[in-house]
Amino acid sequence: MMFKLNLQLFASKKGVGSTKNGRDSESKRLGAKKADGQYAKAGNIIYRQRGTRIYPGLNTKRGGDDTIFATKAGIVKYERWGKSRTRVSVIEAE
Amino acid sequence: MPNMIQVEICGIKKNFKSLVCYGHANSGQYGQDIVCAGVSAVITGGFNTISNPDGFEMILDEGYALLKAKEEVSNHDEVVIETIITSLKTISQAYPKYVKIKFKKGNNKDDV
Repeated sequence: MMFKLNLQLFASKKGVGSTKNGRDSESKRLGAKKADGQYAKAGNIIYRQRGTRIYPGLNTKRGGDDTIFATKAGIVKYERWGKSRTRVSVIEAE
Repeated sequence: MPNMIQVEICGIKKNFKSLVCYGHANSGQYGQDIVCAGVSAVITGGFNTISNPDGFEMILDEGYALLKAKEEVSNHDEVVIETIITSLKTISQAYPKYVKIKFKKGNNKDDV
């Protein structure tokens, strides 16, 4: 075959633009680190978040970067709080 | 140069002299220009079907194609050229804004 096919032989190159996107930041692995019903020791991180998707409940506190961590050892409990909020508590084992 | 593919054909059937195709269709962005794709396919396929390439001067380049007879056209190649012309006319009918075909008389020597 003498000629190879180039389907854009009679197309002008004017339209070829470049995108200014294509960048993204490193993902921060947010989200739950302890599931409901799991055992957590004091100081264990339970939930990594930005802002308060999950609120601190019993025996838990919110860190400077909104991370929720346990202040006592016990079983992790996620529960609804009010109309549309969720909070997480640590129920101490008897 | 107007934004369209121009096809100039000089002489027909046995008296075929030349076919020149130049310009850009601009019916879409590069890579999505469907009219250009149609014309490119017809021209490339047609040129590849010519049985006696030595009897022609053939150029196929970005935005330019030339088929110029150096000697009398064989029966086979006459049909091939007829097919190329008919296909280009068909595309031009469907996309008059992007493909324009001009027939020139094949007798004066300054025609391409």
